[in-house]
Amino acid sequence: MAFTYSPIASVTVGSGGASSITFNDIPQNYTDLVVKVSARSSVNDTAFTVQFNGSTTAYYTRNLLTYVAAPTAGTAASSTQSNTASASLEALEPSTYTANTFNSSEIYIPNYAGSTNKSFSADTVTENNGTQSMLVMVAGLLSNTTAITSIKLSPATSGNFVQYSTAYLYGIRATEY
Amino acid sequence: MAITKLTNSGLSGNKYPNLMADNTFMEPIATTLGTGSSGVITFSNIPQIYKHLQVRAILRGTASATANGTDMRFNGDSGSNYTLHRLIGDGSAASADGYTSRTGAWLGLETDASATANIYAVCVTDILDYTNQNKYKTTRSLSGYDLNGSGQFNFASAVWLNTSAIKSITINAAASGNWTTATRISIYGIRG
Repeated sequence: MAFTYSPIASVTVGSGGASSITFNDIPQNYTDLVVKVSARSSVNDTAFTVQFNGSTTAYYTRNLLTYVAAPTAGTAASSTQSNTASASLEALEPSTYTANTFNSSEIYIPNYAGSTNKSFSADTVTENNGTQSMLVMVAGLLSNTTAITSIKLSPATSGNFVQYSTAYLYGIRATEY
Repeated sequence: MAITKLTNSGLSGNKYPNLMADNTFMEPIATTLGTGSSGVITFSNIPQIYKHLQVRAILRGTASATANGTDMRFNGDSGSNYTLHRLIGDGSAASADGYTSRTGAWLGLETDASATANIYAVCVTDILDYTNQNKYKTTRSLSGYDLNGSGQFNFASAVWLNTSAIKSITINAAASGNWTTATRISIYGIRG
């Protein structure tokens, strides 16, 4: 019997903003991890990144994304990153998008405490009442077999996560204690 | 001594596999089935004790079409206060579209009367921070159907341009149709 969405920790960004959101000392007694993110940038930055255990090497991603301009149709595209210092999940709500609007993201990390390389997936959207918005699905890899004990989320280029940005870390356990 | 584990292993007689003393923080709030005679399903008085909502559904309507999109309205708001952006795949091409000034937030796809019998569309839609009164409500949806020869997948986002906490969700079948009797919509709350 699976035990779903056990809250491990959460962060709500205060009035000063935050340059990053970090979950440390992640318990090792779950099967998978899920991170739910609702965030916005203080600048015109349209991407955010994830790092595990402070590692700054060996991240790989392959994404499917689209920038959609309402009411005009957008174009789907795909790209990759190889051996980077962090994994880009794209689709951070930039400051230029509609006020009070935040992205919506879910990052899934299966077998995070195991001894294999760490695969993960993410699907993220922004929203914007007007022109452009983003939808992104990412398959990622940290080529490192160390168990994940910390997760850091950061804006990709500059600025901060603004007030009311949130991130929630959940554990999913496949079996009873 | 603290209680650290509950289990029904080894018990005889009635068992209650749903007894959970730990770690079930994705909780069912309500489930509604279609009746065949109504195209409106409403979830009212949504508890405000969770951090996020997730809507899970299998959908089939009675509209005269193969499939349509289905919207949800929050707190009865039927004004032009929603947007939509979609990434669409149909097995042969990928496309995208976007809309403003919509009268509902995208939930997902529904199959309709012209689709192969007994085939339903499925969707999972997340609404993070649904009670947060400092945020417009962004939704993120995965939905699709496959008719064994045709089909469609949508990855979509929407926003309700309102900071009010979501207290009700109304889901209308497309084109004034009705929900078929095996249509099932469930809402879950996720704590945090």
